Formats: sequence, structure tokens, C-alpha cells
Amino acid sequence: MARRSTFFHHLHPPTIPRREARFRYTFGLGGAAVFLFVVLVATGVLEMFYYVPSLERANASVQLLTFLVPYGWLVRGVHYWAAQGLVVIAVLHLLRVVLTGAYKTPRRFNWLLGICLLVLVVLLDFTGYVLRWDTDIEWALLVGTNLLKSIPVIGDALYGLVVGGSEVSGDTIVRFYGWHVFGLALIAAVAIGWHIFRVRRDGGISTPEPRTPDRITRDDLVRREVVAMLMLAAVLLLLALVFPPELGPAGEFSQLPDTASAPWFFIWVQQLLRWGDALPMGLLIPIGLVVVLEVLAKSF
Amino acid sequence: MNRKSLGWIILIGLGGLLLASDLLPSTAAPAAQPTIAATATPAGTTVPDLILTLTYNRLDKPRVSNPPTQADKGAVYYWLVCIPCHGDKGQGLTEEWREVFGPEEKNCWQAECHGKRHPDEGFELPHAVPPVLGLTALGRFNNADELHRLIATSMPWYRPSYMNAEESWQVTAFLLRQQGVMPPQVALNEGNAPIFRLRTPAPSLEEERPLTAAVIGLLVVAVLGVVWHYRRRTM
Repeated sequence: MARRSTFFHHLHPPTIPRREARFRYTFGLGGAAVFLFVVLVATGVLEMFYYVPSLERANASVQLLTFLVPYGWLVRGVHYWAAQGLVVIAVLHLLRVVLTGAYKTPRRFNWLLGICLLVLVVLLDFTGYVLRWDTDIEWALLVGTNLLKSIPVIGDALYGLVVGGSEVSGDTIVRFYGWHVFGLALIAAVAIGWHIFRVRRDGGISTPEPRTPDRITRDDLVRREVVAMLMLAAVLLLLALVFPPELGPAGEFSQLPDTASAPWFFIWVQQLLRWGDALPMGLLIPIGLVVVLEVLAKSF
Repeated sequence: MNRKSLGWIILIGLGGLLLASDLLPSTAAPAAQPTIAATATPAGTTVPDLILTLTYNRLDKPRVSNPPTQADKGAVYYWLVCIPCHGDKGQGLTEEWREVFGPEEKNCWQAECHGKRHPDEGFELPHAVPPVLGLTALGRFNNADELHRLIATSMPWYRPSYMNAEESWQVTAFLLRQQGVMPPQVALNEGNAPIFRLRTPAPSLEEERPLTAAVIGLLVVAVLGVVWHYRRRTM
């Protein structure tokens, strides 16, 4: 009887060239990113049992999770570090793909999908950062959403759509929560599934032509993946244990902190905004960078 | 995977185990909590003074961390203002506590400082001053918000307006910490006060951290086990 093919078997063929599985070629960055996303979903679901997306209770519910729920600090810490790690690993994965020329045909579509995923990851990180609703997020939220107003014609409408009204309020938390746990997360989950499906569909991981017919089996591939996942899990737990994420008192937006501070992955946008107007520096340059990456595959 | 890579993995694994074992004893020990009646030894004391002060003194100023936390400041405020009526251990105005005042002062009501016919500088004190710490204390409050409201509006008994807003949060934070319902690192405020329930003990980080470290150690051992098994099979 023929064995029924599954998504797992599609990702793990009976054998793959040993060169594709070489750690020092890919550093396992794609697999690590998928694992981190799974960790984020798992810990995020646990956090949803306690998080209340309302003006009065958003910050207090994060405090409850952190200080009063058994091992709540650990769940939040792992979620936080997996999110930071995902941004770093996604960027490193992109660099690896560029440096090894893996963006070229026949993998061009997967490259475009990967760029979209990077944007989604950053948006997920930003919406998650805002959900803490403490004093640290005030500037980032105000600057980030006010950037939308600088877009001609549709700016105000877009701002209203994102913040849920004419100014930041309790509705903003509900909007960000909805996008974070469902809208963006669902799109990202589908896109990740498609992305890893296309890896095999496009002929596996791009490598220089194999000099030897040396191959490894599915079991060996899975074993390597398990080792990598266990190591990553240990790193995440260690980071959550030694460097717990910060949490300030509830943000009130009546008295903003003296200095504006963006989350670390938007520090470069914050610096750009100091040099010029909101539209070119805060929106056109970042969007331009994404467009440049998108056309890279076609140009080279 | 060559021998060099395996060596690195073993080295990292051992490091992880060492780290895990290092965290176990240090975090398993209960963290030093400032107490109301801690033994203090002022700098510059002579040896006979030192012997005297090493005995347990219930009226000593509490020792606090540097910089002091919100609850630490509350401990000092409690020592300054609340201790005469509510006791050094938050036990309330018990007979045992009044003995500490000395023979002339121990009967607050007969001495008339706190009786019905008190002088102008005195005030009338109820005969039963409730405990504020311990198993039976603060049972009428559901959460920190309710407790804070009473402290902010009714305490100290003799002059409710004496305490400012910041001090009322400090004292509330101190009581919650001592009751074990709020972790020491938390700063209490209007936003988070409703979440701290007075009959729900806060989980102890000192118990949870070592278990987490042990899980990390186990994961490292599991990685080493899989790698060792793989190496043994392919050699």
C-alpha cells in the first residue's frame, strides 16, 4: 500500500543531499525561525488566558501574568525573547539568502514571500510591544501611528483604522490586540507554511552543485532538527530566566516621558525621523528598502 | 559532525549545567526581607554597646535595601507612624505589645492619653486595634485597592490627612509584601492594585527559578544525549 504523503513528508523527503544539511552553510536559520514562531504561538495562547485588551486592565493583566500567575513570568519571558530572536534570525536568514544567491530563479517567489514575512514579523513585534501598555510604549505608539497621518489623501482614514478613532484610546488596544493575535498572526502562519512548502518545491535549499552524491536520511534530518530545537529552547529559557522583560506602570498618555524611545528594531527609523520630515524619513525610506529587496531577485 | 564540533557542544553543555547548578543554591535560599524589628548595629558603637544592641530590639529601625523599594519605604513609615498601635509584627495592640511601652505607658486608656477624657495632645483610641499582618489580618479586604483606600482615607487614626498619597501606597505595598501576596519587586499603584488579592499568595520566584534552571540543564543533557547517540551510531 502506498504511503500517504503529508506536509511533514514533503518537508522531510526520504533523503536530502548532505550539503543542504550542513550547519555552517545555512546555520539552520530558517528552521530556527519556524521553531521560534511555533514557540510564540504556544506562549501567546497561554498569555491570552490572562490578557485583557482594555484601557483599565491591559497593563494590570500583564502585571498579573508576570507577578501572580505561577510561571507566568517564564511564559512572558520566553514569548518576549522568542519575538526578539525571531526578528534577529529573520534578518540573518535574509542576509544568508542574499550572500548565497538563494534569491535567484527558481526561488524568486519564495524570496518575495520571505520579504513579506520579515515585514509581518516586525509588525507582529511592534503590535506585541504596544500591548504591554506601559509608560515605555507611549512615545513609540504615538510616533508610529502619527506617521500614518503624513500620508497624503488616505493618511487620516488609515490612522483612524489603525488606532480605532481620532486619538489613541482603549479602542487602540483592541485594534492592536486583534491584529497581533489574529490578523497578522494568521497571515504569518499561512505565509510561513507556504514559504517552507516552497523550499522543497523549488528543489530544496540552494547550494553549489554537489560534488559528491552523499545524502542523509529523513531520520538524520529530523534528529538534527530536534537537537537544534532543544538547544534553542534551552537558550530561550535561559534568557527568560536571566534577563526578564521589563514592565513599567500603566501608560496614561497625559504626561509623556521626556525622551522618545522606539523599540530596538525601530531605532533606525527613530534616527531617520530626527533628520527630516515624517513622510520621507519615517515611511518612504523604510518602504523603499522593502521594495529594493523585492526587486533584487529580478535585477541580479 | 566531527570531533571538534562534538567537543564544543560538550563544553557548552557542561557550561549550561554549571550555570544551572550555580543558580540552584543561590536562588533556593529565601531572599533577605527587611523586617520591622531587625537587629541594628549603628556604626561607631563601642564593644559593650555592640553586645547590648545584638540583643533583639523590637523598636529598631528596619533595615532596607539600597536603593529602597516602595515596600521598604513603607516599612520605614510603618516603623515611624503605625507601630505604636499596630505592633512591631503587625499583631495589633495586644497586651504583650503594650508591655513593651513600660509600666507607666502600657495602659493606654487608664493613663487617659487615649481614653475618653484625653488631653488636647492625645486622642481616643479603640480598645481593639486589629492586626494588620498574619493569617487572620486584613480579611475584610478583597484586594490591595480596597486596603489602600482605607489607609489613604482613615490612617493614621489620630490625623487621617497626615499621610500623603505616596506614603499611603508605600505602606500598602509594605503590608502586601509582608503578607506574601505581592512580590517585592512590584511597585504598587492605582492601576495594578486591584489585581493583588489579599488571600492569594504570590508565587515565589525563589521556588520557580531553580526548577527552570533544572529544566535548562535537562535540555542540555538531552542535546548531548542525542548527539552522543548519533555519533556512536555513525562511527
